[in-house]
Amino acid sequence: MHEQYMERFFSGDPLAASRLMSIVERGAEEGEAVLDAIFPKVGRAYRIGVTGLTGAGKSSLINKLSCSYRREVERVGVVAVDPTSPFSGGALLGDRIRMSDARGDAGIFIRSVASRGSETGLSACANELADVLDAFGSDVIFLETIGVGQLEYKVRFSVHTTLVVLVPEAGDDIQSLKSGLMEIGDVFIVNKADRAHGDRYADDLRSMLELRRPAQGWRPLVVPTVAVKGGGIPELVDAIGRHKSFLERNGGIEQKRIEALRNRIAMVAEEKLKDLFWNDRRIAQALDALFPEVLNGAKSPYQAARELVAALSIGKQGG
Amino acid sequence: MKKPIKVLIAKPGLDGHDRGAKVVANALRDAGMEVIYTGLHQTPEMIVEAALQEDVDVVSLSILSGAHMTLFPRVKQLMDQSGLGDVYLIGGGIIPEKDAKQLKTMGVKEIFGPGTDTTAIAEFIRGLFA
Ligand SMILES: Nc1nc2c(ncn2[C@@H]2O[C@H](COP(=O)(O)OP(=O)(O)O)[C@@H](O)[C@H]2O)c(=O)[nH]1
Ligand SMILES: [Mg+2]
Repeated sequence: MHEQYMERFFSGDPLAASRLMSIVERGAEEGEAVLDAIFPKVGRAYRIGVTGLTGAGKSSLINKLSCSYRREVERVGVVAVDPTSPFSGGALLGDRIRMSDARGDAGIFIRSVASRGSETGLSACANELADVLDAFGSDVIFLETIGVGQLEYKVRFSVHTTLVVLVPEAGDDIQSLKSGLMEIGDVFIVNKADRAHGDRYADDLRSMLELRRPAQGWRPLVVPTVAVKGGGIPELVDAIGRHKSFLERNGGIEQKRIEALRNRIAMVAEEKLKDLFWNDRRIAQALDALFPEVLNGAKSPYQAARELVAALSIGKQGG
Repeated sequence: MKKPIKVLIAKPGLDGHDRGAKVVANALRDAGMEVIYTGLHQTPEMIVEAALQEDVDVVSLSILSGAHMTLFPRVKQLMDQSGLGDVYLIGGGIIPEKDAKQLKTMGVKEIFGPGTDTTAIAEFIRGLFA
């Protein structure tokens, strides 16, 4: 099914790109066949992760940033992830609403994707969609993610620069920012800086970051912005540029490429192993036999898990 | 593995009310669909561009301004030109019966009047892919 799109994709047809992304979203062999086919063209784009809580202003920032980058480059890609409703499995993908300046520009390819969850058996494939946009010739790609959990972990390895978007709240203490966001930001954005406390918040953040040891020699920058009005966008573009040059000077780009590829192999292999495991008849049989013993207290869940894994290896030697 | 049905809800034209569009968007989300909402004042070009980039299965226009007889055909025409002939176009709003009939002969799959039960809309869409 994907073959009909490949040639058109490589000659720059956005409809082919879009249809290929859907095939990748569906996953399975067909999706992987697409990823195999595009891989030689993946790796040219500069990838920027934008993370932070819902409502922080990520989409509004990407709107302004993508227009700003478009003055210099041919193609900008955006992958925006919104949460799937755990109740219905549906999702309301509203990031395009805030991307009103970017929307009218065919050089900016915006793709919304639901985080999905175990509910549908599909996991969000933000990195893979970014790969398609990369192979399509995007010079810069933004990945908007919600800020916590497994997906963040995956996305973090695939981007060059991570922007963490924060909002000054009255009475908010910088110390409360320990949810793992402090560790991942290369540039911290204090958005809605038009609000009260904006300056103090940015100052507190700066002094806190100064106390930390810079990771791999990079001290994160702090940039106040007013995304809706475009305030601070040139400074933000400059900050991203400084992090990019830092990576280029220190071999960081190649280092990130190596890490991203290693991680991708590991993550995909783990997924496949999980599928193999749960689809193996020996496992299903062993679990059926073991579970009543756990229920009646004769075996602990740990013992059962050990025996489950052992069932696989014994079976292999025997077969 | 099945992907949820993906629907673009768009508001072309000048009227500034999107309550109805938002209610439908929420209802379709609750019915298990992935809904993309693009906000007010979209030109037909912007709508079709969004449909193309997002690879939606259905485009739904919400029109209260009375300009439905120009907007629907224009969107349909642009969809066909962009290779989106296989994407369903539906809509709702304040649209007289005879206009709705005519629009359906022009390739609009269904028109829902004001006050249509949102579950009926969800069921109709699901029926398209059954
Ligand atoms: N006052 C103010 N509001 C903003 C600013 N940036 C974004 N907003 C508003 O905050 C809300 C959430 O923005 P959005 O970009 O959708 O946030 P996201 O959920 O992080 O993508 C919207 O209503 C924006 O208009 C800003 O700098 N100042
Ligand atoms: Mg957003």
